[in-house]
Amino acid sequence: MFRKLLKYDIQAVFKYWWIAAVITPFVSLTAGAAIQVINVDYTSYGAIQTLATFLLVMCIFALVMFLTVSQILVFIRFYKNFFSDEGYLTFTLPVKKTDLINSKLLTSFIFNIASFAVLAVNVVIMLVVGVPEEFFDTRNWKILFDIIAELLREINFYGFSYVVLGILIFCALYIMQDLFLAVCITVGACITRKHKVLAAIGIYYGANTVLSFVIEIFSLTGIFSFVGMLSNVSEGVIELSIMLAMIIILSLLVLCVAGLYMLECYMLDRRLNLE
Amino acid sequence: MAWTFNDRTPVYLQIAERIRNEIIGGAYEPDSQIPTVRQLALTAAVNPNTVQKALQELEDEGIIYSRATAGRFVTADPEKLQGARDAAAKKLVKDFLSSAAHLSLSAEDCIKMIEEETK
Amino acid sequence: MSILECKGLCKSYKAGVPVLQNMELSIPKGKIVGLLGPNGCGKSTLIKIVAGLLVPNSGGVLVDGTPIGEATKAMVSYLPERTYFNSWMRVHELIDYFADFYEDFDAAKAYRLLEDLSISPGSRLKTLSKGTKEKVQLVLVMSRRAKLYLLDEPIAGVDPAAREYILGTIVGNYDPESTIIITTHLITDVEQVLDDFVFVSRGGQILKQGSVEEAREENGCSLDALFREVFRCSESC
Repeated sequence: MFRKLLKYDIQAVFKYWWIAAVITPFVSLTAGAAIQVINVDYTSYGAIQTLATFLLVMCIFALVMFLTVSQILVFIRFYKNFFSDEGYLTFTLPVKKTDLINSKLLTSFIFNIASFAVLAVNVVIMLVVGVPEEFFDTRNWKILFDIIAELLREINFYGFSYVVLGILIFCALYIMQDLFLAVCITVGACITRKHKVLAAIGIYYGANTVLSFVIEIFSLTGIFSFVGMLSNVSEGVIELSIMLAMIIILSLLVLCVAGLYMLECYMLDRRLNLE
Repeated sequence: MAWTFNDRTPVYLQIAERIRNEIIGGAYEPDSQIPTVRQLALTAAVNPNTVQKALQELEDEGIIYSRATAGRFVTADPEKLQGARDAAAKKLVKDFLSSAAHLSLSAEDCIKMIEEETK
Repeated sequence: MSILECKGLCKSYKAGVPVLQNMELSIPKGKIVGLLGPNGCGKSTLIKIVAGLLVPNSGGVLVDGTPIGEATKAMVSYLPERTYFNSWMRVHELIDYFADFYEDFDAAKAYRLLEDLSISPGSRLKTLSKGTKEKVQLVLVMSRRAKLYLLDEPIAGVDPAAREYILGTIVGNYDPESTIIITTHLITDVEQVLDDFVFVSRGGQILKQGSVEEAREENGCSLDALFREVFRCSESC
């Protein structure tokens, strides 16, 4: 059942996502052209180059917005599928609530990866069109590879674990953000009959503000006490402490994710209130 | 079109009457099959159990008989059919005379009017 | 055995106003049952609870002896008052969707019924009129071989021709293995299709329950007239 839900979720988002994706190459082409215009050696820095710079900034902004658009599409699907009239169909399907939630989470993940991939392709297009000589100059690539090789040689156990933990923390943060938004939407939809979207937005901003405040206090105290502790210890202990800190952060994030997930399940199980 | 029913008698009896009248009136040949419960229920837009009850009633009267799973058929027995026809005719006349009486028409008035109408 | 058992069912929405108060109901198998009552008496709420869309505050509901959950949703086919389609699918994609999730779905039957209605499977759901959407929904719900069909106000706000079609589909779908529960406040149109009836008043209280034929015989009037009598009394008494 989970696979079927996933299939339809992906289908539903893709129907609109591909339109945005197809527009991006045009944007990056324009950006590339703008770069070309900027780089031309005019005798004076004129209006054309100002316009081109402006255009370049807009294009980059649009490309970054593509990521946001992608996320928005996923959450529109989430909201419509659960809390609009379509919810009458969704919640009478013989499927587990967890399958429903997991399908949405995985869809979000898949489309984010896809959007990043599209973005990467577009950056390449932009560079190929904008700075072709530099892009195809193998010396530049060699310099980049040399830097990476140097870093890899330097890597030791701690470096490696930092990278791994960093990736895990990033994933957990990302899932938590998704779940947080989902929970806000769900709570907003379940506790109000009208103005569900408004309630969701309100809850999001409210919870976000409170959480940011709490996190800031914790991290500030954490950092200060941490730095205080470390000021008179050897290097090996520092590296170990950083790793421990990362592990603690990761565990907290995992706890948050679990908590939010259970909250979402609870809301859908016991407090669903379709109108 | 869905069949309509009045409030006065149970629906299944009204259905039975309607089918009985169709049979008496010659809509079905003797030993021919009448529509199934399902078909009648669909045509009349009536609950199939009610139709079933109606057909059971007609079966008890002997106007139709059922042949295992093959369905229900009109009887070939002329006595049964005549008996049903007579009973229906009698009821018709009784109802007519009763309605006429409400209009203060006597039996003789009725006969006179019938003769006039049929000239 | 009954297909539906409700014991001590209580449900109230936010306002603290109870919609269902200790509702006790038992519906036997294999019948077409009318859940009849005025607007706001809790019929739709009960149906939604049985369909698994709402959770009662207290009390229990059993469908064929099973509590409400994933298993009962596979046995229950629910037709809500509103259309619940997404906007991006075509009709045949929706049929595939139902076939994907419901094992008891008969796609061939669905196509046949749609053909009878001259609805093209290639049409986009977005472009269908409200009446057509409702018919498509009915076709999908009735193309399942469910143990329990829940039809919430299937003929309200529908023109007489469509009404006939809907009642015909209900009758034509009748199967002694399954039960059909219809909620409505339009009793005249529906009474000849029903086996049994349940009169529900405010708070989900059962005023009267039984066979339609017997009630008509006992009281010498139509179910509609009986309804008016029973509810006139319940309002003033």
